[in-house]
Amino acid sequence: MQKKIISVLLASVLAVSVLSGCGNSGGDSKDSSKKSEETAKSEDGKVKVRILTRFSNPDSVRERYFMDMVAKFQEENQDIELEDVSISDEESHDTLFKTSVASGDPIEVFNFLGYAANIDYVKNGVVTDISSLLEEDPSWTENYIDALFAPVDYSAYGIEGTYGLPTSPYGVCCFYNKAIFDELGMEMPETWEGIEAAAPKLIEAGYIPMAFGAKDNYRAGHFLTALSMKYYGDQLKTDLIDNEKAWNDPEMLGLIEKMQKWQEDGLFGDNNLAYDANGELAKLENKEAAIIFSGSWNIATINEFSNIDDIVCKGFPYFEEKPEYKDEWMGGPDDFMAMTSQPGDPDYDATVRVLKFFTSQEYYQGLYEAQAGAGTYPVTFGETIQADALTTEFNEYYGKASNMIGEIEQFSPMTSLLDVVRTEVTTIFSGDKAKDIADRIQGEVDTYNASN
Amino acid sequence: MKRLKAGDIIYRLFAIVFFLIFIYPIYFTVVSSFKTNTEIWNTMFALPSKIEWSNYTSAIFDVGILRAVLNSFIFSFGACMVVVVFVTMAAYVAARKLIRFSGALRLYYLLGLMIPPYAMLIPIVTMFTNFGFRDKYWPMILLYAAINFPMSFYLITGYIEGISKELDEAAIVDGCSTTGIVFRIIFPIASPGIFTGAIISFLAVYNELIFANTLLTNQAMKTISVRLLGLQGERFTSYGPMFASIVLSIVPILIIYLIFQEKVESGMAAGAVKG
Amino acid sequence: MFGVMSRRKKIEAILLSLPAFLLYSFIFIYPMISVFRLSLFKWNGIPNSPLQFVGIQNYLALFADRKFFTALTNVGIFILSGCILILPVAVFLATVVQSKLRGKRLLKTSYFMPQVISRTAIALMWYFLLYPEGGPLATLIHGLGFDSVNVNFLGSQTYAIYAITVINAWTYAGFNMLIFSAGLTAIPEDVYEAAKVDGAKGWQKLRYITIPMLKSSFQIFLLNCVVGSITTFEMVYVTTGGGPGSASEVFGTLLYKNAFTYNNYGYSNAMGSFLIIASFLASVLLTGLFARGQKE
Repeated sequence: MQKKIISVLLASVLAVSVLSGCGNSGGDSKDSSKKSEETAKSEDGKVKVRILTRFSNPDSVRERYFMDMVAKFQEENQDIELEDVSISDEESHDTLFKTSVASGDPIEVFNFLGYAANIDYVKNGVVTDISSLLEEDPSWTENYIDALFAPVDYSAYGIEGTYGLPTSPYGVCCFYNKAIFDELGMEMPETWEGIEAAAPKLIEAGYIPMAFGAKDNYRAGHFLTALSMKYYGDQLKTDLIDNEKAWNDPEMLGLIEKMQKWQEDGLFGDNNLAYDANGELAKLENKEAAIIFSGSWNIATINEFSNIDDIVCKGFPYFEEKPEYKDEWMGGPDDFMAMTSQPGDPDYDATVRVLKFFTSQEYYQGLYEAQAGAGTYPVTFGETIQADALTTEFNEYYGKASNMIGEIEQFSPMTSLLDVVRTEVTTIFSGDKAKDIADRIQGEVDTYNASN
Repeated sequence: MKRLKAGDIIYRLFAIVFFLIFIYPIYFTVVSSFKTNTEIWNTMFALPSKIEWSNYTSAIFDVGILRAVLNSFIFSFGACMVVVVFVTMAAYVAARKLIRFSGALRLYYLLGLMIPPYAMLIPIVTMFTNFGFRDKYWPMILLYAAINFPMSFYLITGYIEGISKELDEAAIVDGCSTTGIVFRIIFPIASPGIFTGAIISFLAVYNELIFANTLLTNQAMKTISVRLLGLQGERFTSYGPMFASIVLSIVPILIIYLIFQEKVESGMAAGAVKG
Repeated sequence: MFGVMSRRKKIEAILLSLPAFLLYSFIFIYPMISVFRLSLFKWNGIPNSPLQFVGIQNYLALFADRKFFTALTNVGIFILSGCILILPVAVFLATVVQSKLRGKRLLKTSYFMPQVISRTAIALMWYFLLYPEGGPLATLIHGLGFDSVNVNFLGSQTYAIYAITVINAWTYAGFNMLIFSAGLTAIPEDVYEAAKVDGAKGWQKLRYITIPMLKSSFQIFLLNCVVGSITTFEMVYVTTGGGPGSASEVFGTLLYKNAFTYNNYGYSNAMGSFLIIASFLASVLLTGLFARGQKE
């Protein structure tokens, strides 16, 4: 067997080099590598456009809808080759975009994160200003909610223009498994004081009071910002970004200490680093967790749970001692559909068509119907669908929001801060002390400030 | 009949314990790939109560693992072909010192054995996109060939040095060109050595992750390592298909290993002694 | 006539060496020089934004980085684990495959098998083996009655790096077994015969014959272990990604993160240069050391 395969292999190599016979010097020069032109057109004359989102998990309703729409676009636009390079995992997604930018061939349509943290992409002309396109076609965005454009408005930095269209806005919220609370004859607590009081009973009955899938490090980042809003409003964010306050000053340190205490008290259960956001959902469905800290983006997925009738949506818990910040939220626009092709590029027109398709009123109308009205949308609809219970509950809280911000680190021009804070705060779950965590974050901030 | 001494028994026991340690993770993966989501946990050895073939259909149709296996094969086979042809030519010239600086050239290539290729990740990524090389088979194959070239060069040069010069001298008298000698005479004689170099390159490329993960964006181009890595974030709660994907991705390479066992082992051992 | 022929032959020889030379120079050496050059600049990875020359500032930042020292410590742990864990196991396995045991072919295959499996697949397999809620190891530990043991090894800042070294040992033991088994084959049988005549016991044979005669195998092992530990990347990247926090960070993960998460390309290239120099020096110094030892 082995001999046979070797001889086949050798024969094929010999066939390759058959030109080099005896007495015949073969100048065996390497095939000159392929032409290095920017391949906007593929072999069959189609214009190639790539799209990068975080939607690649067919188990999620809105991600599946996106994938179906990619197929639909392809069918309707034979002259464009739309390549979907989407990837769910946040880190892989970001790496993909960054390598494409670094190599000078940025992915044409992508999920732009906006905010100060990503101003470099705007400043250096990677992301295209679409304001003139929006002016040319007012019907495109007539139903968009204007406030959602704030994170892609860089006029405060002296840069005019619009750098993307908001995708579905989100709000950080909690889902409760009501069956557990009924079984134990308890009310569902909506404040941290209430949760602290309820936790021992839940633990005793074998339930995780609030599941926290820290394997995804954004969970810790979201949690901290949400907590800071309920305790300080957005003042703490402003102070941190302006360097008026340090991450290891008593305010932020106090919040991290709270998280640490809850973790130590078993409020978040065990082995948090072993599961991710999907794991949180599984624990809610399997009746292992009484509450999960989650967000509006999961409503449509939860609606497909077998025990959907037991699930209740409530806002992120507030503090009884801080009633004035009860309706301060972490949330807002999630990310933005943006493009990188510039007018004059061979793929510009095709890219605009792709961008329009995936941000159109029809696209969201379809999503609205696919999710049966569940979740949140960047546009308003003429005819509203009677939404499911969870969405209705969510909107009840969301509608009362007095203020809403994205994750604190996004407001800082220090690009690495987002990952630093998330990674460091996550170490609560591997036993680190709040003080050390806060010191390390501030240490990175100081290093950054010193060199910029 | 000779009685076994206590020491011998302990020795054999250890040999078997290690056998179990090395085989168990694979056993667990294979068994789990036939189980339902809940059945996987809290068991160590149990066989599935009912064989869950749907894990495999999901691994093939949803995950697309076979496409990834095919891609890995294309990259591996391509790179190992390029390596074989280029290296044999260069190794013959170096082994017979046909050009000046042959010694310096060998040191130059030796550098490639000492330095981890991923240290050059950023310039390589930049270079690839500047030339429009990403998501294409050929550039990727050439990259892998370049990375694995030094090891094969080392192995094959050593092998050719062991071949008597009389053969090539006879061929020269017959009017054979150097190229002719390389492919008509050296190639068949050195084929065991060349094949060892080829199989080592093949394995290295089949399992490579870092470059594939940063240079391949197109779903249809991804290799097994990239695809398996992507699964972690994508569908972390459906474990069965994940195990099935692992099984489908390691079975082909295990088969290749079992067929070419001696070659793989001797090649790896020879490669280790590079210093 | 002869002069012309030999000149032609020379050109032919150069042409034969050329493809490999060009490929290697273009894809390996040229990027290596770029790494050194780019390590002197500050760059955010966006082509239109200018490279800003900062001299050795990236290197200063590197040596002031807490995570760099975590990585250094972890490399030390990798080297130590190689000597404590992989070395004895590999030597033992080598004696097994060289022995006259029945079924040793099967044993050898099983010992070596991990070596051909992709690191990603290995990491995934071990992720599940070590899964703290119902994974086999947790089941085993709890089944033995150690209920209070924290079984979340990969999620522990203290144990994550050790868990990775165990996975690493599982992967590479078979490979190192081959090194020693090659060394054992080289020991002539009559040396043992002579020792037997002199009445040497089993462990005496091991102490006075086998180990001294395996000297060059030990050297090869050490060289591979040190260089392999400095350049280790994939195994950590796919198991913990350097976490939790930065507990299991190694040079490779830092290089990757600084480039693709933090947009700190200059710093990342400084890390690349460090890696190139460190692994080169380790190879050259160790080889030199062994060569000198051989002479004496």
